[in-house]
Amino acid sequence: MGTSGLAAIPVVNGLFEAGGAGTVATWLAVLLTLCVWSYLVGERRLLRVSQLLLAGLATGYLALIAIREVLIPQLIAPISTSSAHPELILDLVLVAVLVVGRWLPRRLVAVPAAILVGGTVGYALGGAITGTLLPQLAAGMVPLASGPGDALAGVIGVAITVPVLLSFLHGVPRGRLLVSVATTGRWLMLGGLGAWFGFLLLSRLALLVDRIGFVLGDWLGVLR
Amino acid sequence: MTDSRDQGARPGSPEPTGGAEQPEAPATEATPPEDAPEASEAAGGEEGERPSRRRRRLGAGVSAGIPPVALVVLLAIASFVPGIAFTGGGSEDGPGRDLEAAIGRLQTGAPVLVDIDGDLGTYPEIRYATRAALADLMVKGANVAIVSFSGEGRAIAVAEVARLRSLGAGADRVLDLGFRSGGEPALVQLAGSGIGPGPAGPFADALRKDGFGSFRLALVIGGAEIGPRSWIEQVQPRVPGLPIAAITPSFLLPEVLPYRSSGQLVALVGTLPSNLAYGKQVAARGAAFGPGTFAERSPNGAAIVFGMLVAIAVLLASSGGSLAGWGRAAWRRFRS
Repeated sequence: MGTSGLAAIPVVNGLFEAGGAGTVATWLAVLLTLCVWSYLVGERRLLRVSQLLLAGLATGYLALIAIREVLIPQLIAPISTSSAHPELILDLVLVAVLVVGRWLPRRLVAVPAAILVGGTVGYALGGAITGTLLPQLAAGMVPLASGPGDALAGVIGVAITVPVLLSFLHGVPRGRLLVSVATTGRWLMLGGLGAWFGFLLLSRLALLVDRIGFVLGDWLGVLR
Repeated sequence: MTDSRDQGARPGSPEPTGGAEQPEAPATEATPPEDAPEASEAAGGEEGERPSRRRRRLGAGVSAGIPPVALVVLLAIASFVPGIAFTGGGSEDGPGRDLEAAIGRLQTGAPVLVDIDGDLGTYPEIRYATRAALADLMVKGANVAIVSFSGEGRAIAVAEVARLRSLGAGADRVLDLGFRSGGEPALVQLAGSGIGPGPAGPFADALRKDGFGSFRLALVIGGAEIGPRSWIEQVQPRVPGLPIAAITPSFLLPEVLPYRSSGQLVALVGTLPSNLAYGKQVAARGAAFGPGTFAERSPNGAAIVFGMLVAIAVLLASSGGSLAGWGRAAWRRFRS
């Protein structure tokens, strides 16, 4: 199938198809958007309804995915159709212990919980060292021959990184110079957090723009 | 209070006689020495020393803030030096050009793995760029396998696969690898064991035969749970030859920009202007895919302006009063 075949197909732009179902979905989405925005004028009940709807739908959807795409095809079905995977019985027991863990002794529940947490942390730590720490250290060691600009950027990077790392020296006897550098590092870290907050604000503004575009464009047809 | 008593009763404590009858003694002991004269001042006099102390405190705060301010000034000056690119070149279309180049290097029929793991809450920011990238891949003739490792990402992936199917992309061009549970361990499993026995069709058979290493590009549509960092940390060390490109919301950029600077990501499209620029670049040469398939959904300029005005109005309405009060109080303190 080539790209010309794709061009001949009628276009569906958004998540909503044309027709009755699309119209109902659009109106529903607009209604919920207005419910959330009603908080701006002090109306909290409509916002609460929207929040509960989102939480309920998300939880239900995740439960459905877990049952349909994980538990049944990868655990229940192989056990029920064949005895070739005896290790899955152990998996089933661990999952069952986690599910009913609230009513079981804490020491029993600790076993699958420890496996879960330990495995996740092990993967994360190993990946952080081999994927982030070492390559970033290598990338940070800019040879001076690569140009004065890169060298200056490297120096600035060191000038930021060292004070920030030193600001984490808690409870260690420190001299006046070290205290000053650590204080500077704390300020720099605050500056970094502020920059991150700026990105977060930018991200949320983009979402607001999207919603306004949806209401004015897709619903009212003003900005199409 | 319990803690204070415990500390006061600890052997070797500087206040052995305090005991339970004087629980506040350690706290008094722990206060800085300069506070003691301040207390006596408040009780008795020496008011002439107050301004000098305030000046001294102000001086300490200012001296602590001088190095960061100096560094910011240095950074501002350094950004004008040729050869220093703090923001990846600074141009809005630079990230899009990188992604275009990464996709442009693909041969017709090259298998590409697309990980859609955006968050429901932040996906609208990158939806336009994501659809532009998928259109770019279709125009290039790449075969796309779509996978998700988070529940929210799976919901988005289902919608995008359905959209591509409605455009006529069959299972030979767009393969749905489904949801993989387990987060990063599942990512490692996919990189190590391949796509597994589940998916069917000629494209899936070819992927099973050639293995995970047959992918020519991984495009990560990132979110808070699984994003470019997970791919860089878990997949790149195991499959070093696989180029990884990413489209992420703005809030993830501080986390992933260093990967682009170090070359671990071959392309990174982030902010709304970059998304728009990339979409325009693809739309400008993507007529064969069907004009308007994604370009019609580009964020409207009027909506952007209107949204910014609304945001400013909301910010002023919510915090303008307190900001004004803070400013007035600061002005009064300065005057006095």
